[in-house]
Amino acid sequence: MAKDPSDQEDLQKVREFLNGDTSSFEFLFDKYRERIHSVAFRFVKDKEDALEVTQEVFIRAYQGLEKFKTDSKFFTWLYRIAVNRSIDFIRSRKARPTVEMPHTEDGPLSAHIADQRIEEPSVNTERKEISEHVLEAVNMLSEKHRAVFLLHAVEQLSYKEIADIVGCSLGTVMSRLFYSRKKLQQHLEQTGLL
Amino acid sequence: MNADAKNQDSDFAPQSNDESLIGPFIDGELPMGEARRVETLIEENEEYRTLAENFKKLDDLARTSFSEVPKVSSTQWGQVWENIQKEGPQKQPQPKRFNEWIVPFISIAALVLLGLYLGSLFFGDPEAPKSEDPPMVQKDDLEEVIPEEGEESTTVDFSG
Repeated sequence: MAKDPSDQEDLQKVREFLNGDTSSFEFLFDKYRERIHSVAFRFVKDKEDALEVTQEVFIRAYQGLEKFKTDSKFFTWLYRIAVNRSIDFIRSRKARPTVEMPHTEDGPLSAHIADQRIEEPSVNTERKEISEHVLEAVNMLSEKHRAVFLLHAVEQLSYKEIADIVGCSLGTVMSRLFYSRKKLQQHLEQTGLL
Repeated sequence: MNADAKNQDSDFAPQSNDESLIGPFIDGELPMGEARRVETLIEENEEYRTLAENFKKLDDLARTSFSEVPKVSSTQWGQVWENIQKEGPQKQPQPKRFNEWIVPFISIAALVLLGLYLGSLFFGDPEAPKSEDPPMVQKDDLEEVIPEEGEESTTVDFSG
């Protein structure tokens, strides 16, 4: 049962929405839109695409809030939709031949991603280079490993929360995280970052 | 998955149960007793110590590399919210209170009606004429009442 005041507040808003007060959903949208957009962005790596995914996530939540079980955390439920929608989005983008990711001919894929992310021209070159390597390494992970690693390292969620979001056991979270770290370690050792 | 890929994947699997606990230890996910034991292991084993340091470094690098997310303007958020409302449910969600009483109410009403119907079948007067039965006295029988001797003939008018 959710004991955190923030979780309690969420559940209260969910109940109000289910009782007909639609403005309660606007409160939840305002509270979580940035975080959901960040999660989506880390997967889809494009601001506009991430915004599209964010919109889809909230539409799904809006339409399916009756299915949400109030004995769990609202944000965990919302994150689960966000991770699944982001992965679906990447798959559909891969399946669409007209929309292409930047090719590696002009440089590493991560360099393009980093360019899109970091718009300030004065950004430290060394830091940018490190980011490129890390992004490249993380992108090499499979979807399921990447999801667990990002939710842990970037979103800083607990194993239990990750297990709830991804829909697997704590043991699976541990093993996916270990695998991801070892693989990233190997890649970054080769580039001299570790 | 081919044999090479399998071998490569096994390189990333923990070599022992203790090794698999290094990640949960640095993440603060182990119970107190187990955390103390793993802490001692890390202090005594250089390989584990390096692994723990690398894991911490990796997390920091990832956090820094993924920390920058482009800002979305309030106008864009406003547009997103409008779209959510447009795409959302066509009708407003029904107040739950309505759902809570309407189903039991209809169920009870149906049960009462069924009870009344069954009651009339079992406890009703079997001798009572059914509505479909023809009347005992037909209209034609009453049209003309044959007078007794000394009375005038009377015609019963059913038209009005």
